[in-house]
Amino acid sequence: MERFYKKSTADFYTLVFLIFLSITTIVLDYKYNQITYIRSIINDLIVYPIDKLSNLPRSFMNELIRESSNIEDLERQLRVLEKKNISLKIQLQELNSLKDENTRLRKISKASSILSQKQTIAKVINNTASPNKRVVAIDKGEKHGIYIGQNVIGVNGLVGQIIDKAFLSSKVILITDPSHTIPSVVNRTGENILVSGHETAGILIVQYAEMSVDIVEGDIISTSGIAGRFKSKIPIGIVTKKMSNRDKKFSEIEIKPFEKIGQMSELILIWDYKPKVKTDE
Amino acid sequence: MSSFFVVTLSLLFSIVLTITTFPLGYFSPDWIHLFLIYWILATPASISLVTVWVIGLLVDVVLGSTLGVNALVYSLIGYLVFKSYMMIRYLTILQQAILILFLLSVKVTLILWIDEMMGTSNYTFSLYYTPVISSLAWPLVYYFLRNLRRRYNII
Repeated sequence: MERFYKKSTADFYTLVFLIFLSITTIVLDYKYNQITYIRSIINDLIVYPIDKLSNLPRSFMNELIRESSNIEDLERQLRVLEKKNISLKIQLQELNSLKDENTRLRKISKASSILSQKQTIAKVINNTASPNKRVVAIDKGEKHGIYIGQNVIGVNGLVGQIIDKAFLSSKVILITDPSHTIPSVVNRTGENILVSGHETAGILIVQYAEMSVDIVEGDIISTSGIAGRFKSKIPIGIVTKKMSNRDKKFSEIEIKPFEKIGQMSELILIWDYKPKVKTDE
Repeated sequence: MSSFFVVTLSLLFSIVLTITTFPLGYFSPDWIHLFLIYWILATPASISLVTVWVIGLLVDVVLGSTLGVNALVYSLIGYLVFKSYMMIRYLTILQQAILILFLLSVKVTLILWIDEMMGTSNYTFSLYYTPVISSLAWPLVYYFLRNLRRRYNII
């Protein structure tokens, strides 16, 4: 009887010790961000290989499809891309002259460089890396110089920012996450607004927009760069719906992002902008 | 020795299942916890409470939650199962599924409570779909792991 009693109290003290340990790790992780290296070690050793493994069937299929497309197809694709490249170059010239004109007209003394100098293309290794947040995992990490807060874009517009980095992989929070908000600007009027994600996948909403706010359907929204989290003038999306509900104080505005956020296989990381605010590192 | 490998491999497999069923969102079963509860019930001697805590920490990394939250609730639920595995073993599979529904609901509530204290919670009622789906998936896990256990003769 006494032996049984001793064993069961030993178990109990183990439990108490483990709970104490858990509370310590929670406090260290949440309040002081002291133990992120434990997270990245576990991530690299266990989660990253599993992520790769669980996406193996899909990437294998993609390889197979690419292999099977014949040379003629590829050549045709090449021609199309070359044509597209030329037209894009012409557009770029026009854009550059417009930029100069804009600078001159607004008498901005220092020319802001809109074009990013260095980009890295990252592959998405897991499209939903969290059960209750819109987070994707990419195959670039600390080894490639990724930093927390780095802006992540697609070919057409903003996608998200880096929130978590391990040695070989990192996590990107998408702008459609309900808890994520971007300081942005209406391109037509220059009005500053806050754009955040929504429970419904694939749309963004404007928070706290007054009833009288001058936003109409078809307006293009881009980042404003206020608060220093995002580089300014990255396109976000286009206004698709504006509803003025008299009962509520604010009007409901829906924005459709330019990118198919959450369904992309490749993302672009930009390097020439570091968030000015202190990141939660 | 082989029992250790089988248990570890099956737990790794449960992590693979968890990651591959992320797209289901709240409708994906809590694979890791179901596997863990099965192994505690079947071979309580092979798993210690410390192991349960370490697996909880692993879950924190997999799910991206604050380090320690899942470790805390995993060791609490694990303790309860350790203390009553004799009783739970003799329940029918349906009764076990109902018990798991209760246990996992308590777990979700605890996690929600901790998240609320840290101000990182985003409460939706959909959080409680996970325990329901998990208890529905319990017979599947139970028979799969029982076959595995009998094939490799793990006691």
